[in-house]
Amino acid sequence: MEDTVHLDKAVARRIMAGDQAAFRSLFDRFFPRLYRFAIARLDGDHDAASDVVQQTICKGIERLDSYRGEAALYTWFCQICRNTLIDYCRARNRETKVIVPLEDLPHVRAILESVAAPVSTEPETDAWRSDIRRLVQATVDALPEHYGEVLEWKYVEEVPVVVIADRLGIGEKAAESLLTRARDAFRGVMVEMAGTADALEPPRKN
Amino acid sequence: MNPENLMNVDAVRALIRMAGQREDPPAGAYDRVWPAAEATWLTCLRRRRTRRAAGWLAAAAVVVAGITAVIGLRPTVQAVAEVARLDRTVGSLEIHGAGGGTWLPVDIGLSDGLIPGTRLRTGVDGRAGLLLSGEISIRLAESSEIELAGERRVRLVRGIVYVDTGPGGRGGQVQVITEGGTLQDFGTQFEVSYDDSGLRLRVREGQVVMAREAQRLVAHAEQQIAVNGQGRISRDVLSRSDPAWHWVESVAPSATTDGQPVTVLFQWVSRETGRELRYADRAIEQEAAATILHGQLSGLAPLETLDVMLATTKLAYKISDDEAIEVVQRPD
Repeated sequence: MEDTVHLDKAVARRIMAGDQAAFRSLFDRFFPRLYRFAIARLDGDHDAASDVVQQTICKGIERLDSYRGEAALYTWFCQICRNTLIDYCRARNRETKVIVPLEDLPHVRAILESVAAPVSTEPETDAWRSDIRRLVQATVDALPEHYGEVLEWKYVEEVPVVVIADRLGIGEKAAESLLTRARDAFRGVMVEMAGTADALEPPRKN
Repeated sequence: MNPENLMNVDAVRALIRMAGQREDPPAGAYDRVWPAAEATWLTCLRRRRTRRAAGWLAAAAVVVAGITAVIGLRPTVQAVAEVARLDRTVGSLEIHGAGGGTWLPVDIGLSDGLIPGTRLRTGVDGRAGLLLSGEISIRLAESSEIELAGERRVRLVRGIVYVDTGPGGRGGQVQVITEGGTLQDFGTQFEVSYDDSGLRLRVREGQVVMAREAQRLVAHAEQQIAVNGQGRISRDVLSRSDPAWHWVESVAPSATTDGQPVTVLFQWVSRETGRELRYADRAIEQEAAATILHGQLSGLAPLETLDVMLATTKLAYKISDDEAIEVVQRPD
């Protein structure tokens, strides 16, 4: 993670120096992730999500001078997005969902149990699994550049490593190494979230 | 339960597969957010440049006060990229700066370039002509509003915009973005209209692709495509010289005439009016090629320009029965 912050600071410096390519790259990488971040908290309202993300990115750019590498740049933007969401909902007297998304909870041990959980037809369980699914995607979103992509290509699309290498324009060994690092990063986040206290348990049958 | 044991490769695979592919934002969201983000960034750069210049000026003033030799200082912050400038206006026109503010009337003396995020709107009596890089002409009809979305990218908020990328599309490609679809030209003259009733594309010359939802619709020269509010598509024909095009002449960029042969002026008028150009005979055409114009006019419509410039030559023109411009010998 230290390497990521170091890179993020370099990106921020380049953007503030007027590097158009760096700015474009940042926007292309962060926009979809921030959009998913916002829409998960706006009950699927796409118009509102666009508004919030626009304000978030604009505020982030205006404050980029103040970014000191205290967190990954994407995490830094997410914090701006959280605050923007609060202001946005307040300004519109908007009723927000009371339930806090799983990804905002400190520990989520039940994620691991969901791996072996049988498919259930219970609505409560479906809703819970939907929350887990979103949590996993949010985790993938939070990973450094390309990590999320290679994990999806490998495990969702089931693309061979040689094709992943081709897509990224790197060698096969480099692609394997990237995949290993991506898995480790994802695992690290998941393990950190899994704790022994205040875990969100899957719904129990009465 | 030991979390570490569970987080092996199989567990990672299972979790990622269960989560599935992350959804991309809907089409249009990117186009909506990017211009504002870019405009904010450019405004921030401009502010930094101004602050640095002020800082350097202050420092230079101190140095000059202390010693006699002056050291020149050069700010190194990259200049803000301007993507358009105002060329002509008729009637009322307002401007809304990038990054916030309010609508203000435009002074035709406006000499600054316009940056992405800038919005312009014409009144019920207004029209405007802008020039993008590559001398691409963008013209707004009455009651129309656009936003400069980037280099050679224009968002049509409402109303009608006309685009001329030059003969053969030499000025480069332009993208016109609307809520109803995005239009990309392959040279060279076309008009887009967008309002509550739908989206309409008219092509005068060249070819334009309209991308909306999952469709790509292509219109060629003298064709029109209209998509109404319910998504129904209709096609029609519209000749290059149809009166529907006449409005664009009032805000056309001025022709470069000084030092040019009269043939250049005739070609410009033909292009702007959509009328075919004919010379009465070969001798007249040679006369036109050999006659050099002096002086430059601005603010006149194409045929008005022709009237004024030809007055000092031996040539004249008439409009034929089929609406062509026919160049003849000036009567004695």
